[in-house]
Amino acid sequence: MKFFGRPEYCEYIRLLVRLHDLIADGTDELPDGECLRDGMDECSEDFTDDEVASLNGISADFYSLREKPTKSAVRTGAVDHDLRLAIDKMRDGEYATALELIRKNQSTIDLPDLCYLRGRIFSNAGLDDVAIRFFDRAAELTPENPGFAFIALDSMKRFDIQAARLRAEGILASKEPIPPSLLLKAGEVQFEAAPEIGNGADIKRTLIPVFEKVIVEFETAHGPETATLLPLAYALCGFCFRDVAEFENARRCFDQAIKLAPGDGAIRTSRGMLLYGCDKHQAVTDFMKAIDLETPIVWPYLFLAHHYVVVGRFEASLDMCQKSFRFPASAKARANTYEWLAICEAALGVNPDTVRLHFNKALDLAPANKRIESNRRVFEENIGRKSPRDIAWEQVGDDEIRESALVEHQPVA
Amino acid sequence: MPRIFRPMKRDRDGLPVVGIRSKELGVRVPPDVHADVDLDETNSVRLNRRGMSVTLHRRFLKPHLVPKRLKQWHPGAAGADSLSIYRYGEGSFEDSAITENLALAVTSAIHGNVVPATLMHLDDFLSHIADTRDKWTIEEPTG
Repeated sequence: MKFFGRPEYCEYIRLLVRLHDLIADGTDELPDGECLRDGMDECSEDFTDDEVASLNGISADFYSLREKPTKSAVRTGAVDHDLRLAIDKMRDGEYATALELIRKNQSTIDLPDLCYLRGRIFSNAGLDDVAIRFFDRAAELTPENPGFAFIALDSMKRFDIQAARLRAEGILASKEPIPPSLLLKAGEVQFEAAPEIGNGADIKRTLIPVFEKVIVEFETAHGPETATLLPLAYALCGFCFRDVAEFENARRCFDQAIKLAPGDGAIRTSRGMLLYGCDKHQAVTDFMKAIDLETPIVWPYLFLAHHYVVVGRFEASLDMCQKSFRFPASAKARANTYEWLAICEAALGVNPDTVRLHFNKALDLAPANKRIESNRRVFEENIGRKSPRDIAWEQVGDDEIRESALVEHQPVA
Repeated sequence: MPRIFRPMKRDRDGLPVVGIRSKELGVRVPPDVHADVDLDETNSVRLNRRGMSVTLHRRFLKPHLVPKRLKQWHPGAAGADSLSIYRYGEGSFEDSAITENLALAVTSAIHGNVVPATLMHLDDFLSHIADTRDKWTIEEPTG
């Protein structure tokens, strides 16, 4: 990754875009601007000539944020080739090269598209605080295209959830007609910020009519966004119902989301978690499907590990426990996994030292957990038993595991 | 005597402003958080290649150091317009003497520092730098 892999280079870009904000305000020659420039000296002491050339180009790009649209030059085949190459380079993480290719051909690209492309490159490079300025400019230049405002809010959410929440609040409170895609994004931002605001259930209750409105608008309009955004709208509505304890409505929404997006493992996982303990057959089916879909989250593995250990399918539970380690999980969830792993190993007659090690790991992660402590004691008392599969372990109940997981689980949109 | 470039605040007579603040002809000194030199207990400048920052050529200046008024030639120029780009000397960019008391310590292919030629008190170092003031000439694109 040329240049962008270096933190000082990225830091310089962040300071540079702030300097351009001051230049636009006409305040860059005041003490704040001088201070900012001193900070830029600091982080750029040993830049190479190539890095300096690249940064000069990026600084020129930032000026395009304040330009007025002009008629673009005619685009040739060579330009199209360069633009395709720029997208490929961006996907390969060669952000500086992608920006250079766009810059080289900028006279042939309409300003909103130019801003959008630059925004995408910075966003992909992890500089959403820079990208947002380009997305906002694209949205400002083409208010009739809600896609840019949607992307801008999505970008803002990634680097400053509070600022995104304020913007989302404004969108949701607007008296103007708001396109459903933007309304959905604003609702999603509010949903994600809800735990930090406090009184999350109240906020989620207010979001239900927002998502229901979005669903109606998508279903009646059948626009190009419907296929991708309608399942998300149903899923978010499902999460809100779930969090205000309206179980049947939540299930209805998840059912609909899965019908529309059968290949979405995250939504299947969410429905599985909702149903675990009340429609366990469907829940287990959802988790198995989510695993088939290679969903990159830990929950399907953990729930199946729990299910299998409870019904005495120790080999299957062991397999789920081991696979779950590929994904991030909280200490509490990990403690459960180590406990189930130890139980399975004990039941399958694995070396007691290994079983003990895993019980100890579980207790290191959850030292106050009496159940793990008790199960470790049961294990020690039963070492050498002829039929280890029949040991009576103290199990976590379905409802307990479900409630505990729901507290931690947030939708993957 | 190496050829070096440095953007500095421009005084009324067109020559660089002498001082110990940012973008002046001199160095920032401790306890300034952005100090350009380290001092020993006698206030002498430590000989560790730190000093007044300069570059090989003006085209290697980072955007925040190029005055905005030069945007026509430097499309990324985002520096303060109170700065001018100054040049000093004519020789090649390598470790070498600038004056009897000052030297260039090259830190990369495009960057170097003006440092004391020998161990000297900070006041002497600043005075020697100030003595070069009338040898700096503005070199900016025009026309």
